[in-house]
Amino acid sequence: MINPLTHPSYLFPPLVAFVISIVLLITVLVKSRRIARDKAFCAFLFCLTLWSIAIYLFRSSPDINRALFWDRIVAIFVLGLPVVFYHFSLTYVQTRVRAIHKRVYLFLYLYWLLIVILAPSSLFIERIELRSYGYAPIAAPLMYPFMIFCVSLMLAGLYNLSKVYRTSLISEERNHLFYIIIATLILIVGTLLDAIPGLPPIGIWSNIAFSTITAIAILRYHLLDIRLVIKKGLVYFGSIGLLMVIYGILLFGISQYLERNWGITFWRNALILLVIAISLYPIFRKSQERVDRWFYREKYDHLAIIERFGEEIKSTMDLTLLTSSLINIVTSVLKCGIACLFLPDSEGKYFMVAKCQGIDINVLSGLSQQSILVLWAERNEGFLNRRDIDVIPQMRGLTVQERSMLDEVKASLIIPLKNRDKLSGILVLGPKLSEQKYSEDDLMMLRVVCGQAAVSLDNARLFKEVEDSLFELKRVQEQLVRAERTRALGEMAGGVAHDFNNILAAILGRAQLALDDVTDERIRKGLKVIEQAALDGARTVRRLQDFTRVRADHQFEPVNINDVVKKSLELVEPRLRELQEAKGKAIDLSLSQEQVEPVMGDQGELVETLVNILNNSIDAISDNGKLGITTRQENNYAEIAVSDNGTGIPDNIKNRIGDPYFSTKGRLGMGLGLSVAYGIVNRHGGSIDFDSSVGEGTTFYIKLPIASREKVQQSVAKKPEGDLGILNRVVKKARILVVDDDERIRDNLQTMLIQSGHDVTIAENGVQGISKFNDGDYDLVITDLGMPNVSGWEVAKAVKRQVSVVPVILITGWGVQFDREKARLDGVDEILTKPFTRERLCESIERLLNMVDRSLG
Amino acid sequence: MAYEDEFFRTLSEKDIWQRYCGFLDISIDEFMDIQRRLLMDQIARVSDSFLGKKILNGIKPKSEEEFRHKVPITTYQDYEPYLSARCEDVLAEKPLFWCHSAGRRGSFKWMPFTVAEYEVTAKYCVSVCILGTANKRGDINFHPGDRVLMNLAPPPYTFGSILHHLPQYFTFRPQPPFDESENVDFQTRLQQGFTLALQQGTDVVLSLSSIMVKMGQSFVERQKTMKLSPSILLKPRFLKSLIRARLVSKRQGRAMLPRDLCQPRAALTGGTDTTIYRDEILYYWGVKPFEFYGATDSGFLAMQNWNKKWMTFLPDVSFLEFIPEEETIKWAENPDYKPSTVLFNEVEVGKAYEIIITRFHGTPLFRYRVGDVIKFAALEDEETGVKLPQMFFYHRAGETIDLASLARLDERTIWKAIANTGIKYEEWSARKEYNGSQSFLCIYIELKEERQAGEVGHLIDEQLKIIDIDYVDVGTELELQPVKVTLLPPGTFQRYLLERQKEGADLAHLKPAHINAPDETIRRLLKLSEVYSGK
Repeated sequence: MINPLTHPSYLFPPLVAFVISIVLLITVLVKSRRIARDKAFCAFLFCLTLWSIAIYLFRSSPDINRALFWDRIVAIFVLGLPVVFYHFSLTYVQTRVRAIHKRVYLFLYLYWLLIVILAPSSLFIERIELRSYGYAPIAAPLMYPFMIFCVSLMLAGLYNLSKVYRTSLISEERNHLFYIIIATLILIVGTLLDAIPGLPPIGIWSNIAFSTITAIAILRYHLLDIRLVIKKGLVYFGSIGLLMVIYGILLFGISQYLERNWGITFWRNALILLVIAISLYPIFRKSQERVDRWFYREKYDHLAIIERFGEEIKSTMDLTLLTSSLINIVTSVLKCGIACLFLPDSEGKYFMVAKCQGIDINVLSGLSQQSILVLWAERNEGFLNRRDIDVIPQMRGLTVQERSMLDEVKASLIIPLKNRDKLSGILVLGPKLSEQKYSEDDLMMLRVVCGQAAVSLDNARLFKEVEDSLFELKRVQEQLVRAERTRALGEMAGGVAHDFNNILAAILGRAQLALDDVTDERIRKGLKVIEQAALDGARTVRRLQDFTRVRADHQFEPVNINDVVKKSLELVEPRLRELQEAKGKAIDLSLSQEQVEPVMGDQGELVETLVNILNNSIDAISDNGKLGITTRQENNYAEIAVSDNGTGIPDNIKNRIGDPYFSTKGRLGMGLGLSVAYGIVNRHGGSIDFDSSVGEGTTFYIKLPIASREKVQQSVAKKPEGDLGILNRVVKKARILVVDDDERIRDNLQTMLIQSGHDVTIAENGVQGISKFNDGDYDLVITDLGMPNVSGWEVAKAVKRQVSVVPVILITGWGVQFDREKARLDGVDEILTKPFTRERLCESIERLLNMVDRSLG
Repeated sequence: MAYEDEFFRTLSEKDIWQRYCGFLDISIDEFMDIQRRLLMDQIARVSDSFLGKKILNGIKPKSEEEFRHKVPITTYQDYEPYLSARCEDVLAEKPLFWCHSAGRRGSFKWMPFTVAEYEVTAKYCVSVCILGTANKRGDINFHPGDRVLMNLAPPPYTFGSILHHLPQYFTFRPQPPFDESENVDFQTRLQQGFTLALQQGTDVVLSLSSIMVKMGQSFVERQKTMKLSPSILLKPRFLKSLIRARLVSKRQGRAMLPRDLCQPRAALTGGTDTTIYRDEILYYWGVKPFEFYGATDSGFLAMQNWNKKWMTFLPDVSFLEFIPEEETIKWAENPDYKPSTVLFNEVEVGKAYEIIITRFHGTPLFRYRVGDVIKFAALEDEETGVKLPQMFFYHRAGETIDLASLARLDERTIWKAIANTGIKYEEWSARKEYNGSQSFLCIYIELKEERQAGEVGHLIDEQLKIIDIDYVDVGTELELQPVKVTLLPPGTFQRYLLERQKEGADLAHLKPAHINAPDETIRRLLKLSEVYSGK
C-alpha cells in the first residue's frame, strides 16, 4: 500500500502554491511597491506564501505531533489572511475618512494577534488524525466562530471590491477587479470546504487557483498595472518548464520500468530513451506551440491581419476604399465598436472625419490644425489613451468641444498616422467590446497597420490631387477655348451691331419724322412698316449682343433666387400642362428651396436664363420623367440646380454646350437658349456647370455670387430717388447742343428736337462741340460716342468741367456694352442706344432737365 | 466618489503628479500653444453673448495678433453694470456661482464662475495642496480625506465660494466643517478651526499669511492662561500630542508653538505679504509657506514650485499679456495712448509688468487689467528644472509712493523695511506728504515697544537704503532723510477697527490701507491717537 504522506499528489500542491505565490509576490513588489493598494496586496500574497509553505511542512511532517505543530501555524495564516485581504480591499476603495480606517486596522490586527497567541494551544486545532489521504486536523469548537468571522471579513472585503467594480468608470479596472473577485471567491469556497469534517483537504487547491488566476491576470491583462518586461521569458520559463517536468517524469518512469521489469542495461536503456525522446519531440513541439498560441493568440491573429491589410492597400489608390479598409480591419480585429478616421482637408486647416464606424458622422466636428490634439500628434510618435488625456499636461489646451467629441466617441486610443514625420491622419478608437484594455500586442499591430496606412493614404491623396489637377486643367482649358470663341464672336457682333445700329438709327429717325409730315395713309402705312422693321432689326442686334455676352447696360438690383425660381416656374408651368394634356407627357416637378441671401442681378434676365434651362430639361425628357429644382447657399454663392432624368448629353458634345447656334434638337432648336443663359450668368459674375450621363439625365448648376451687404444697402437707398424722378416728370423747352459726326443722325436729331419745341445747335465733331459749348449757353448736350480725334467721353468731361449741372446724353451704337455707373462717373448722365425712338429721346431729355431743376432748388 | 478622488484611487503616483503638477514640465512653446488654442476657443464661445459683443465691438478676431490689435484693454468699469447686477442674460453660459472680491478698493467686484472654469480651478486647488506638501518632484503627500485648517472668508467671497464647491470634486476635511463655520463670524470661525486643528492635528493650513502669524502669536500669548477641558484631555491622540509638544518645547527652551501640536505638512497662503511673514510662519507652523497667486477677477493665475521660491503661471486659466512698466507710465501720462503688450514667451528677466488677462472657459473678460504688477525673476528655475519664466508679485498697479521721481516704493518694500528693523509693531500706514515742495514718506505706525519717532524713522531709512537701491539717491539728492514717522499710541488701530466695525464696514474695509490711505483715514487715526494719548 502506498504511503499517502510520501505521495507526490499530497506533497506537490503546497509546493506549487508556494512557488506561484512567491513569484507573484516578487513581481508585485518589484513593479509597484510604492502604491499603498499594491503594498496591501503584497502583504496578502506574503501570507498566502507562508500559508502554502506551512501546509507543505505540515504534510511532510514525519509524525503526528510535528504535524499538529505545523497545522496550528497554518491556522494562524488561514485565520489571519482575511484581515490582510480586508485591509487590501479598504485601500482599494480608499474611502474618505482614513482615520476610521486606522481604527478598523487596529482592531483587525489586534484580532490577528489574538489568533497568533491562541493558535499554539488546542483552542483552534484539537488534534491530528491520520486518514487515507494524509493528516486530518480535528478543529476545536473555538475554531468555528473564528472561521465564521474570517469568512465574513473576506465577504466584506469582496463587497468593498464589488462596490468599486460596480461604480468604476474605467473598464480595465473592472476587468482587474473581476479577476480578483473570482479568485477570492474560489479561495473562500476552498477554505470553507477545508473546514468540513471528513472531506479531504482541498483548500490548498483553491490557494493554487487564486495564485494562478492572479498570475494570468497580471500576465495577460496587466492586473494592478503591472506590465512585465520579462513576460515572455516568464511564460516560456513556466510553461516550457512544466512541459519539461512532465516530459522528464515520463522518460524517468519509462526508464525505471524498463530497468525493473525488463532488466535492460543502462546503455540500452539510454538508447531506447533517446528513440522515445526523439519520437515524442513533435508532441513536445506541438504542446509548446499550443502554449504559445494560448498566450500569444492575438499576435498570431494580428500577423494575419497585417498581411491581409498589406494586400488590400496594395491593390487600390482610392482614398475612400483605403479609409474603409483601415476602419474595417481595425474594428473587426480589435473588436472595438467605435472608430473614427480624421484626415486633413484640402486647405490643411482642419482634420475632418473621413470615415467612422459605430457613431453618426454628423455628431462629430473636425479638429482644427491648431488643436492641441493635432499638435501633439504632429510632435509625438506614441499613442494616446483616455487616461493620458486626463494626465498629460499638454492636453490642458483641449477645448470643451474637443473633449466632448472625444467623450462622444468614447475615445480609448488615439493614434497618429504619420508618414516621414508628417501627420497624415488621426485614428480614434473607442473601447473594445469586451471592455478589456488594448494589449501591447494590439498596440504593436496598430503601429504596423497605421504606419502602412499613413503611407498609402498619403499616396492616395497625392494621386487624387494629381487627378483633380488634371481635371481642373482640362476644365480650365475648355473654359478658355470657349471664352476665346465667345470673345471673337463678341468682337465681330459688337462691330456689326455698332454699324448696324447707326444705320437703323437713321432709318428709324427718318421714318418717324416722315410719319409726322405725311398724311397719305398709303405712304404712312409704308413708313410704319419701315419703322417696325428698324425696331425689329434693333431687337435682333440686341439678341446678337446678348449671346455674345457683351451687354453691360443693365442696372443690377438685389434679387432673391427663390423668386427667380418661382417666376420661372410660372412661365414654364403652362408648357408642362400643355405637354401633359396634348401629348400625355407627365413630368413630375419637385422643388426644394433653402433660405438664400440675395444676389445682385437683373431678375428678368435671370428668369430668362432659368426658363431656357428648364425648357431644355423638359425637351430632354422623352416621355414621363422627373424634373427637380433646388436652391441653396454654399459659402458665398447662391446655387440653383435643375436636374432631369432625360436623355443626358453625350460626352462628345459636352464641350459644345453653350455655343451659339449649336442645338441637339435639330430643326426644333435655334441653339441660342443656353448661349444666352451663359452670357447672362457670366455677366452676373456667376457660372453655369453641368453633370450629365447618357440615359440617366443632366443636372445644370447656376452659381451666382451673394451680394455684399453694402451693395444691397446702396441699392435700397437709391431706389426711391429713381422712382421719384420718373413720377415728377415736367415738360420744358430747352437749349440743346447736338454733337455728331454722322450727318444723317445729326439731321434726324435736330428735326426731332425742333419738333419737340427745343432750341438746337449743331456741331459736326467733338472739337467743334466743346468750342460751341464754351461759347454758348446750353441746358443739355447730346453727343455721339465714336467721333474722330475727340470722343463723346471727352466732350462729356469738357462739358462737366465747364458747367457740372448741364446733363449730357451719349448716343451710341455700342450702348449695351457700357456700365452706366461708370459712365455717370465720366460725366455722362444717360446713354441712348441707337436706334432710339423720338419718345425715348424726349423722355430722357425731360427727365434730366427736371432733375437739374430739382437739384438747383 | 468625488471626481478628483477617483484619480487618486486609480492613478499611480507618477501619473497623479503629472495630472496636477505636470504643467511645470511643459515647455514655453507648449505653454503658448495652450494659450492660443484656448483664446480662440474663448472667442468662439463668448463672442456671440451680449457682453462678448459689447467688449469685442462685434468683431470675432481670427488670430491672437488680431485679438491684441483690435480689442481694447478693459477694466472692471466696462463690465460693472452687468456683473454687479449679476445679470446672467449677458453671459455666454449660465454660471455655476457668483462670487465677489474682498472689496479692498471700496466696492465689491462680482464675478461669475462657469462650470468649465470651476473644474479647472478645482484641479488647481489639488495642485496647490500637492505642491505645497511636496519636498521634491513627484512627491505626493496629500490625499483625499486630508484635513485642511482654513481661515478664509465664507461664500460669496471668492475663495470661500471656491472651497465651498470643492467637495463636489475633491474630498477633504475642512477645519472647521463648512456647516458649522459659514454662518458664524470670522473670529469664531478662526477659533473653531484652530481648536479642531490642535485636537485632531491638521495636514494643511490654508490662510492669509498675516492671520497664520496672528494665530501663532495668540497661541503663544494665551497658552499660560489656557485651560483645557477634561473631555479634551481624555482624548488619547490629543494627550499624546500635548505631551510630545511640551517635551519638545521644553527641550528647545521656548514656549509651545502650534507646530508642536498640529504638525501641518503645508502652509498655503495667498496675498501680497507672504514674503514678509515667511520666517514667522516657518517659526510658528514649522513649514515654509507655499504661495499661490490669484484674485476674484483672474481666478488662479500662478503658484510656487515645490521649492517654494518663485511662482509659475498656469497655462489654461487665462490668456496672459504683460504691459511693460515703461508702457504703463506712458499710458498713465496720456490716457489715449495704446500701450503695447508682450506675451509670456517674450518677457524679460528683471522687468516689471502689469498683468492683462483674458479669462478662458466662458467668462467674458477680455484683455482685463487685473491691477497687479509682477516681476520676472528668471526665465526658468534651474533648481526644480521648470522651463517656464519665474515670477513674483511686485505691487498693485498705482499703489506706489513716488519720492522725487527718484524712487518708487511699494507696500512690500516699506513693509519689509519696517520688519527688518526688528522693532515690534502692531500696524502701520504710509503715504506721501509734502512740506512745501519737499515730498516725504510719512509712516503712521503703532509700536508694541517704547521707541522714539526719530529713531524709528532712522532705522526704517537705513533698511530702505539696503532694500531699494534707488532710494539711496533720494537721501543724497534731497540732502535730508525722506522718512517721517508718526508714532500712534497703543490701541489706535484696534480702536479704528472697532469703530469701522460699528459702522457696519465690511471685513475687507476694517483696516486702514497700508499705502496711500485717504486723508479721512489718516485724520481718524490721528484723532484716535489724541484720545488715547490723552491730548
